Amino acid sequence: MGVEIIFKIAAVGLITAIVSQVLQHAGKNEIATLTTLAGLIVVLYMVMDMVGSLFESMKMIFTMY
Amino acid sequence: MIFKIICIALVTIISTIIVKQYKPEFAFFIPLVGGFIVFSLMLDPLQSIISAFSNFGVLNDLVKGSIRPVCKIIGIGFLTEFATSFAEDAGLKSVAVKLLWAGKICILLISLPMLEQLFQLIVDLL
Repeated sequence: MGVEIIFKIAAVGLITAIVSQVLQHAGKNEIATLTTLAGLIVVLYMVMDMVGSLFESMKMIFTMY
Repeated sequence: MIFKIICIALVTIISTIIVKQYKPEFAFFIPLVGGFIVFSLMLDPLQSIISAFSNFGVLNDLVKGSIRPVCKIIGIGFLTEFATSFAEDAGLKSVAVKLLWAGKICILLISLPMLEQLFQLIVDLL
């Protein structure tokens, strides 16, 4: 639990940007959009379990169940 | 403690700006994660505050019944604010407004029994 998650997400974003740039220059635009989509889904997975634990801790703290 | 939070906020801001240049879609996730980290850092103090409040409640029975709904309302308020701020970050003001509206209705729903208790009290007084 710390800053490394932010760096991980930023890294995934930048790598996806680079890969899609390279693919676009190589003429493969469809694959570029697919890589962007893949990168987005990877980041979504990372964020989803964090949001899940956030809701769990909220429920536990505010006794909202 | 507060310095750690400020540093995390700074890191989030800087990485959002950098990533926003290349890939705007990813720039939405970073504040989400940053906000979550800041919240989870403040978890323990929040827990002690709430347990302290419930100890006060034990003393007089009128307040005891209302501690639980108040906690729920605070939780709902915080979650709604958490979501609306992200909707506004992403630039979707309409979603934020709808979330606020839904949050208000949930809070009103929970405070209904307390309102009845209040009116009952007033009727008894008259």
